Amino acid sequence: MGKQILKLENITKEFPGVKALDGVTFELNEGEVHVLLGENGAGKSTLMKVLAGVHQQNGGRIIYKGEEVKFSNPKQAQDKHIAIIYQEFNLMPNLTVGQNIYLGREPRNKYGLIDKKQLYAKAQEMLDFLQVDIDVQEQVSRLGVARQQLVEVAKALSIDAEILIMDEPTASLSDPEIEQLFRTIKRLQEQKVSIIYISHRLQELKVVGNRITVIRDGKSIGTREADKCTMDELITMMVGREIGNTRIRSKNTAQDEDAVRVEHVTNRKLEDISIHVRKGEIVGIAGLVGSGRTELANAIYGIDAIKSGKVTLFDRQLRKPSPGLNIRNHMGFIPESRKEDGLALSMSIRKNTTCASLKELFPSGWINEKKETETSAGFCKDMKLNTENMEMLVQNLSGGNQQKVVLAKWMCTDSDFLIFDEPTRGIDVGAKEEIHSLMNDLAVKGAGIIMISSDLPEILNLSDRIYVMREGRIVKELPGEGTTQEEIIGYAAGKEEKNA
Amino acid sequence: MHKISLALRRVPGNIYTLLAITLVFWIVCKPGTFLTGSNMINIAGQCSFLAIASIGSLLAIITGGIDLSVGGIMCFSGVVAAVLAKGGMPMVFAVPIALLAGTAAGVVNGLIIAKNNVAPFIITLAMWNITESLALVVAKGATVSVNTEEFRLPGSGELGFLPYCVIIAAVVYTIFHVITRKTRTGTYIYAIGGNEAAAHLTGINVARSKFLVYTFSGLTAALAGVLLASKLGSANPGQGAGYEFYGIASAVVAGASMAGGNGTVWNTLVGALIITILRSGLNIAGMPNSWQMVVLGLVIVGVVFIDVMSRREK
Amino acid sequence: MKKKIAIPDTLSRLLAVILIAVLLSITCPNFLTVNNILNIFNQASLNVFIAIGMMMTMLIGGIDLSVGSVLAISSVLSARFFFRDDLVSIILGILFAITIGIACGLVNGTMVSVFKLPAFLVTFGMSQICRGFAYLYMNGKVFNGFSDSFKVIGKGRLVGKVQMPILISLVCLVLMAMFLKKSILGRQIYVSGSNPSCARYSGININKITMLCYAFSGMFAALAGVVYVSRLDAAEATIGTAYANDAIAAAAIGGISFAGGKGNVYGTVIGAVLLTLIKNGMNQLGIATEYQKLVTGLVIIIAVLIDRKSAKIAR
Repeated sequence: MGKQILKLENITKEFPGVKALDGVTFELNEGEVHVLLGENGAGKSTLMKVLAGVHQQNGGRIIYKGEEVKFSNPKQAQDKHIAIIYQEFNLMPNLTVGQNIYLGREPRNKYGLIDKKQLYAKAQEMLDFLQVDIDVQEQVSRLGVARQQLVEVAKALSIDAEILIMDEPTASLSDPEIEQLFRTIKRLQEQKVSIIYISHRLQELKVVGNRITVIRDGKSIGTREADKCTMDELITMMVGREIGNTRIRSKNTAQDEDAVRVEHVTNRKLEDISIHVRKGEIVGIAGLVGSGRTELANAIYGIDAIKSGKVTLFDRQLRKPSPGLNIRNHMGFIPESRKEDGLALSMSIRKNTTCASLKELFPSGWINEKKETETSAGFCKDMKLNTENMEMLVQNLSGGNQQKVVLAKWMCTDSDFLIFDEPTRGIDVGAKEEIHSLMNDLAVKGAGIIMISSDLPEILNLSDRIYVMREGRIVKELPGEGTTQEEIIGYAAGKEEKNA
Repeated sequence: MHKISLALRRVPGNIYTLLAITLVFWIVCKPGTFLTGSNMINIAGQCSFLAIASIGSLLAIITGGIDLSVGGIMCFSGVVAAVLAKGGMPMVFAVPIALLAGTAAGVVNGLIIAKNNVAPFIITLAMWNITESLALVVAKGATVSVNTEEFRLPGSGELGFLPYCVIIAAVVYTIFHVITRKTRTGTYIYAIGGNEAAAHLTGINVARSKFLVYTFSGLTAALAGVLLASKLGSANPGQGAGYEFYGIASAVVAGASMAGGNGTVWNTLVGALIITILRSGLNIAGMPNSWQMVVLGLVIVGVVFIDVMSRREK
Repeated sequence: MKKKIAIPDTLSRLLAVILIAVLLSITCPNFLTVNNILNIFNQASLNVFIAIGMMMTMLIGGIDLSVGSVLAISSVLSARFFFRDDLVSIILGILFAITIGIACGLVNGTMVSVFKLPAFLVTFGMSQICRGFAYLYMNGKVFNGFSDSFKVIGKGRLVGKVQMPILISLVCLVLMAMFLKKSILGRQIYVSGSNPSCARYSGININKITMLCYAFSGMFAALAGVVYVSRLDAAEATIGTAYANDAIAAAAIGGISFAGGKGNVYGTVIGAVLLTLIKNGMNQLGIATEYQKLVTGLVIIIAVLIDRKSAKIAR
């Protein structure tokens, strides 16, 4: 490996009331992919924001190319060729690809005006280097997630990034897209770009990384060579205990009756979908991003309209399905993005847990706060939420705990049919396990469950049956046991068709 | 044929609205009253005040904000110019001072909004109150008439057949076209409207851009106010009232989304023309004032309705 | 114990009101009289009605600029009912006014929720339309000489010397506070305001909630119109032009967030009282009325900035 380019020494960072970083040390060599691994709230993102100039450390030193540096804003870090790609993209949807790539650094002509020709030519160069076919004049809002990410990479390249930080880059990508990303990373490495790679997905770390540093509770635990450590070792470092990666669902508890039947459902994003879920059964829905999985869930739940076909919930066909009506018929939906769709962040845990079941809890139409507090405390305790203060605002909770509040909210509705859309995305290993066992318990008690997930081991470990979706259609139904990841990917990516 | 259809598709939708409204009035009004050269120039002159003022409204809307102080600033700067001119100050001094006074209000808006990240709606609403009150104080609560040739020149003078205020509006529009489309600041204004948090993380000085937006808005409002006072030969503390709404309406009728991120300067000009032609045409058609209010309200809501619906289709 | 109602924000506003009142009672001898205090509350009561309605729309992240015109149209249309000294007629009139107010509010709410038009423009359009029709209907006339029993609403005094409008606004205040805090609908308004998408996924019918809020706004505007007409014994098309401004000011001073989902009735009422208090104080001190809006504007800015600061500290 190349020489050392960056060293973070004993970085500490305090927010009012919280010590987010407590003496983290981290090194990065030239042309290296160094993975930063840790549970949610371990301080990975904070550390990277310190490096990118978004936050300023309270203690410790950043040594970059042998010199101590201090960034008081993101621009200064950029000027030193440190680029960061956040989990939530930072592109302007209303601007073009080219404008986004050179945002803040537009080439100007001698009158001080933006030289559009040069801007687009240079942007095109960046995209050409990445070997991607994106129109530089296209508005970003018209690109899919994967292409937007490539625009982000191009943007990083355009500042001649020497250090590129990628925060959970694969979180919303499908497998072929991930492969393309890895190829891009390899190309960047060849150009001597050093990459800090943050991820939860243990499988991919050893594929992409050279070294792996684990941090926990704001402290650095240790650094390992990627090819000389085992997965179990990393997990132990992350959580301080061993976790087996075996099939969670030992027994298929599916009953004969259907909880939900979807027949020939078609709308803008879906084509002739027919699936069914039995009571007590966990059905996994796999597919690439954009294959219509969330859209299917939205159609069943009544968020999106159905053009033709019908949905039967517990033998009742709802004429005009809406979330409210579905909830009254004992259906629940844990949406993909908890911050946008799952929670009212500025409200308390109490108000969040009860907000989908107010009518059932208080049929008179008037809220009894004492009863409400007791109810929400009860469900939050079941979810092993680590606070007993139901008046705490949800925005002050960590990601995993927020997801537990979302789950508590849906347990509170006493649903017999639930859709979990990416239930464990961005959640640490411990909380993930708890959510899995919760889903299993629900199924054992007789609830029908649809689980949408991009995490294939999760699908395989938990589902009784698996539907694979591609381009708005169900392409294959597979049994939960005995199926391999390769099979699923094969159907999801349409490998068979291409070969034929 | 294909080229023509492409070119037609490029024409902003509200041009058609403009043409349709013009056509309606041409049919409805007595022959030789509406679609005459002198009336068109008259409309252009009337439009220039609203057109200039609505640039400020547009800029604020692009960033996802709003500027309700436009009308108040117009009153204030108009009154300042009139009082100074009445006191015998030459226009070369009176106008810049009036412009400065109005711009100062914009600067205060900008400083508060940029530094504190508070809702522009309420701050500019407060500034509307403040400037209107200041206008009352400066004018001592009455109309200030200045009937000198010099004072009336910018608003009612003509170069050939073109009123000065139309020329000034054209210059202002060209300048702001360049600012929004060709400068970094312009790109940043759109970027902030698109995704403010991301713009900040990209290293864009969001506070500076917002500050500039409200300062520009103060400046254009002040200019519109001075021109209006000059045109009327008098200023009273109420004469800018309503312009904040019509300015916003011009921008939105022209396709700018209140959520921010889009809208162009030239489209806004069309929007301002639509509103002016509507008012002028209804006048010529002899519609009573109260019906005019109803029609204007319906048209504004209607055009926005069509715009929102057609966008959702896509 | 009561900290759930009197959240610090509301408390600090109350302290500000008390502080100003104390200062005024020291500086002007006529300030601290029962009559003057009751007068202040009586004057504030109109704004209280409208501001509570305005707050409802702001809680779901909207705004209602049409309140002044809705007040005008509903009061001029219902005015005919109020000439006869007959309780049934008066009650019918009030119901009629409220129905018009609610109808206008529902149109606003439908445009904003079902058709997703910007609230600002919809309600501005509505204000133009209502005002235009009010002018058309009145054609420059002024109705006055209403029956004595009707005038009780605006001028009557109960429990000693307390004016009716104060009592009516007090009742509204208590009812709305209860509604927002204790009812399912009230809770759903807050959830919809702080995160509409979450509300939708939670089965809350946001369109219904939005319409409800705008209907409340229209209703309170109409109610204010009835009280206003009764108090002045005059109904005309020009009334209420500045009311939207005052109501928004009261709500903003009262800590209602423009992003939606934050604020309560108490804050709004304190905001309305504070505004009236300042106007009254300026009159007492002999400050020209021209300066009133200047001070109003400054108070708004100060209140919003203090809110901002305290929110930052809380985080």
